[in-house]
Amino acid sequence: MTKLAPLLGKDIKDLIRDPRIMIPFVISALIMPIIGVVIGTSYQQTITAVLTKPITAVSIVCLDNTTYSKVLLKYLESMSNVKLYTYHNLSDALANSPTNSIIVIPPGFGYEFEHYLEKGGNPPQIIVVQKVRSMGMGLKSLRASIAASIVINALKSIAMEIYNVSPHVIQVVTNPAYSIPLVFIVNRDVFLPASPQYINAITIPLIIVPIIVAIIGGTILQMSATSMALENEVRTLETLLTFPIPRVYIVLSKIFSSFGVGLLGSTLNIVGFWLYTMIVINSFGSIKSFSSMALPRQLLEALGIKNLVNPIALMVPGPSMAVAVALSAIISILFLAVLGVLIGSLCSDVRIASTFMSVIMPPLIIGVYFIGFVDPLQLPTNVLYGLLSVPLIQTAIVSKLAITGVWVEYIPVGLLLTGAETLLLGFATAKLLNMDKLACIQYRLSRRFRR
Amino acid sequence: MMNQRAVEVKKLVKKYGSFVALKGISFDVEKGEIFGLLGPNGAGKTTTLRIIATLLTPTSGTVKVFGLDVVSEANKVRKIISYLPEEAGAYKNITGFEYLSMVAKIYFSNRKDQEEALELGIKIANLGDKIHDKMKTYSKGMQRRIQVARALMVRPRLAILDEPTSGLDVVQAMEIRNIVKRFSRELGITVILSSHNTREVEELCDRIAILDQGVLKEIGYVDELLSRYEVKNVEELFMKVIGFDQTGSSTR
Ligand SMILES: Nc1ncnc2c1ncn2[C@@H]1O[C@H](COP(=O)(O)OP(=O)(O)OP(=O)(O)O)[C@@H](O)[C@H]1O
Ligand SMILES: [Mg+2]
Repeated sequence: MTKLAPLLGKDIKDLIRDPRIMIPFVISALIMPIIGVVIGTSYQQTITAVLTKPITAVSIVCLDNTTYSKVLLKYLESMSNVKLYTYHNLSDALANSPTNSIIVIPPGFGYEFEHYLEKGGNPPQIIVVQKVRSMGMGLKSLRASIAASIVINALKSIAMEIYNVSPHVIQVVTNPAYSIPLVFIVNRDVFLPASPQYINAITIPLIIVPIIVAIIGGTILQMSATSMALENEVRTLETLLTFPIPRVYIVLSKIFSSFGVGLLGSTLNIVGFWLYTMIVINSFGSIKSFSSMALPRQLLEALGIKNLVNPIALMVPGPSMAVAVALSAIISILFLAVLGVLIGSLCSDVRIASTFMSVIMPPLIIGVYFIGFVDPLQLPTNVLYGLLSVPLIQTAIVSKLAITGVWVEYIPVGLLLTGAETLLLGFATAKLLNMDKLACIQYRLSRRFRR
Repeated sequence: MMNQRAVEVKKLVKKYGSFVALKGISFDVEKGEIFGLLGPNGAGKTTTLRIIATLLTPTSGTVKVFGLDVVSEANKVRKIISYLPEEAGAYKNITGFEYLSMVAKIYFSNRKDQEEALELGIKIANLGDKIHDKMKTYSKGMQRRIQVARALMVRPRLAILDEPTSGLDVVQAMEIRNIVKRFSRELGITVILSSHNTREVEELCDRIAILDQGVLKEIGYVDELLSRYEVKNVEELFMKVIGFDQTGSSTR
């Protein structure tokens, strides 16, 4: 084994000193929190601008002359906080109105409203057009519904007057109770709030671990493939193969060096990604309109609902699950490292290797991402077992199961299998590492690629 | 054995799929000599050298290096040879010094031997302070010098050099030739090298073999071949042997 050390030293130095490898790590690690800040603040600003800024002026295109339309128009004109511009056709309003929200009252509206008041049936319709010059997050369109609510509220007031009911009756009728949806995770004995702002957060832990593993794995795959292909390109592999050392050392050295350097670089990336997530979650959470409906903790506690947790807290799994996730992650990453060595050794230069990578990486990421949307326990057993025998996909599933605390009996078998697959692939790679086979494959590949 | 040969090649055939790259060649390399394999592109020089270096296995025939079979005793052969691939480049981000010291550690287990080999390597490479620069800053000639130094510093019994001067300018090529000539004599290393440069072979080699399309056309001492074919230099000899007449068209 003493002969492995000098090889490993060479591989690590060659990787870690390569600016093409380390600079992207550092840049993406730095760029993620910056993106987080940009997304977070711009989202926050847009939300504030769109939802909390009141509408002070609207344009109305009234195409109806019946009684109730006139009543409505008069009501709107009398409002002190909204300035009204009236037009007689839409194109005129679109061209000339100083406001961006244009409300169209179609012909026959008043008559239909009257009918609705007396007999019910379908409510009458108004149309709201929001003029938009540029799109940020597409949230500007929400202004249209705020503008609409001005008219709707006016109609509500008119209706209340007609029926002579007080506003609180309407409130009670339209909103008789407030519900607090909760999710109870059976195996972990915890409650999660299931309101919209938390639902977003719950998907993050579900895909975060597999995505991280995919990122690290992909990086290491790329690294070991590139470094092996480079050995081919500059003919150093040929030299290595004539050294008085076992071939396995060459493979092991590549695997360990890309594993080590990749892990180091990925740690930077993960810190960056973590910062990004925190920043984005924080800025979403601090939006007033969302967080105004606070959870009535005292009531919940009185009912015995004590372990109410933030979804992020679920990311810390129970001990046996944590071990399974960690093992699966390490095995998957090693598997990808070996795969990289295998691919790299078949490629006579780095260009061919990166062509291969660009084919292999997307399905890998998409596969892992896809698992994020699947409920593992809904899958047929043999499909679940099959997926648990595939490196990386296994990590995605196991980490998903870890969040809900479901232990599937097959997990240890799956771990053993992927472990064996990794060893087997490593063994096959070492076997393949002879010029007879390599020269033949490279010769064919490079001829195909040169065309 | 007393007069054991450095290399014994017997009826060597190598096929790549259906293509026959070596069509049953036989030759010997004597201990201590510099032996040149001369041949046009695609003659099978690299194939022959890779087989001797245990990288490729023969389709049929046998190859022995100091009595050891390159197939069944490959591990033993690897301990006594060193091989310089055609167009050998270098690791970009490690220094020449680091590279040589890695090689020393791979070939030798005890500290003293490692240090001796490293010292010798530095002397052969003769790169001055540049030995501590990353190899990506090296010119092609410097990279080749490091590689030749690497091949010779471990004092192999047989050094296999595939076109050691290809792609280098005349000065650099000359330096490499001087290194090979001087250190193979000083260290008692047998050398087999390939080339398609006839002047190089003439200058460097004791004996040569001319290979063409997988067939060994001629073999012998340079002087003896020149007088036998009644030609002035190896270039004319080469043309005559591979059947290339002076009007510029091949008779093959
Ligand atoms: N892996 C391979 N698969 C198929 N054919 C090959 C392979 N390697 C070499 N050849 C063919 O075998 C023949 C001999 O190749 P070789 O590389 O030994 O020649 P060479 O004498 O070294 O030539 P050069 O002067 O160009 O280096 C060539 O025709 C080449 O195309
Ligand atoms: Mg060649």
